[in-house]
Amino acid sequence: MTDIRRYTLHVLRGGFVVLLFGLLLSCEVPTEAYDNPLDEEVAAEKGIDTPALVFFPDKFDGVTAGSSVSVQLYALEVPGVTGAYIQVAYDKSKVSISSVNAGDFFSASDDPVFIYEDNSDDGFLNIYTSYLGSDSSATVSGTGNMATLVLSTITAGETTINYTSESELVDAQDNPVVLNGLGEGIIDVQ
Amino acid sequence: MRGNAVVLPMFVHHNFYQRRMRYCMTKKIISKHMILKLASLMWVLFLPLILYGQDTRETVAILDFEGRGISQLEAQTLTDRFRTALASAGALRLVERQMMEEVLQEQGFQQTGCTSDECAVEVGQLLGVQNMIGGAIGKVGETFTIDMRMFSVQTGENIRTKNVSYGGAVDGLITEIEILAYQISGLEATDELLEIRKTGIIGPGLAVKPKTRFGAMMRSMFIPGAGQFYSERKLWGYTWLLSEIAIGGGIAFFGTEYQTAYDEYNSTVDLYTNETDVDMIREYKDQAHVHHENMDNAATMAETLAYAAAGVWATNVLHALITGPKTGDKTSARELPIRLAYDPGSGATMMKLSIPLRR
Repeated sequence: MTDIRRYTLHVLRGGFVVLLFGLLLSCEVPTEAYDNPLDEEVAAEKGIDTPALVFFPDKFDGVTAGSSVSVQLYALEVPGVTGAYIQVAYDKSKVSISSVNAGDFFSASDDPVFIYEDNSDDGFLNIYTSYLGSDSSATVSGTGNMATLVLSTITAGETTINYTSESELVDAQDNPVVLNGLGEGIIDVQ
Repeated sequence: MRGNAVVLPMFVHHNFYQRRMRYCMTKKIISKHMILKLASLMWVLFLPLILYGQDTRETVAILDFEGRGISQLEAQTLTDRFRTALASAGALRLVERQMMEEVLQEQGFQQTGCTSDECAVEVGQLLGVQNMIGGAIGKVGETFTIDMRMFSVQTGENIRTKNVSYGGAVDGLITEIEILAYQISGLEATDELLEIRKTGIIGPGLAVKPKTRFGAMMRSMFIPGAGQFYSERKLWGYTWLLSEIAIGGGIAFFGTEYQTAYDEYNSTVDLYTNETDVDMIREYKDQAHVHHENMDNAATMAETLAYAAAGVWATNVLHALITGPKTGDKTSARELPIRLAYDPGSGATMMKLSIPLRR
């Protein structure tokens, strides 16, 4: 009986000490971190000023070789555009384009014009898309998805996809809209 | 060394108070409103003290045992041991020997000569106790006999009588007298005492180890207040323990707040990271920021309280070390200086204030 009492007391003592130390150590406050490429502030921190073209998401970690990733091509805070020519450069030895689909940025009563050309020999994807509403002078503004790519990973290693400087947005009068930033996407293949 | 205590009994008669109050009110010395205010204030100030001070245990005084066949010195020593054991048993409230002797001396009584029932009842009435304990230790041949009884001062009836015969060395009577102290209190004797009686050996596990400052400190180091309980400073023990529990409760509360804010922050950040609508991104970001702020505040509070807990803990350890175990008369040292009690004899409420002149 005495042994049980002693044992219980030791357990209680130990438990009390562990509980307090546990409470002391468990309240770590993580650093406030926000990482959404469509967040203007986050983009600015990365040196991408609007209007810009960005990838969403802009980082893929732990992707296994042979698997696919889906990445969306976004226009970020663009003013009055009706069409776009987008050129995406990729490392053909690391990834390949599986599919390309139109986004909803230029959607209207009619489907947008959407043409793409995958130059896999050089590692470039060219996309031509434009607004096809009933009012030819109408434009779209703000942030929106212009296309969705599905990329297949080939070999392990980190690779990037980029918008080239050839990319261009135009307004209703076919005048180019100045792009202040071109985003980058990172794919880390395991 | 403990000094003498000045005992100032104040008899607070209800009728006297009422008359005094009526006089003051008639003369408009104090208003009714003021009385109510003062009464409320007095209750608020003294109620915790009074509640703490109430003791429902029956009061008892012990007359020195009569020695028959043993020396009066041995009888007195055994009485002292009986008194200590009775106080340790804790079932009865014991009048300290010193106070008893003072009262008896004032009244011209000699305790040693007081062996008759009438005398014992008279002593009990003078002391204002409910019960008295008296007895005799005798020796017949090689056998010792102890006869003991507790009786009511008011009725003179026996409440409990005990007797035991013991054959052996005179020092074996110590164990018997300790067992009797428990039995006369209406309690079972401790296993340790029964084991000593059985084996006649005060082994290492059975011997009462002296309490030390170091022992108190070590106990307080593991559990706040444990050292004070060990040192028989229960009020301090409860104070430290409850303080630590209260602070621990605070830490647990803010820990939960932190955990809630932490979970909400993470889930909101997940929503934010996967959101493509710009307005929703802003909203989630604002929400995440608020959750982070809450998390930070809760963590800061928990941390502050944890430091407070550590401080209280350290202070409790130091306190246990500095004050150490209680020595001397335990019964009187435990008491608060102010106590209230109702005396059925005089029908008055009595307030006792004792001030130790030196320690």
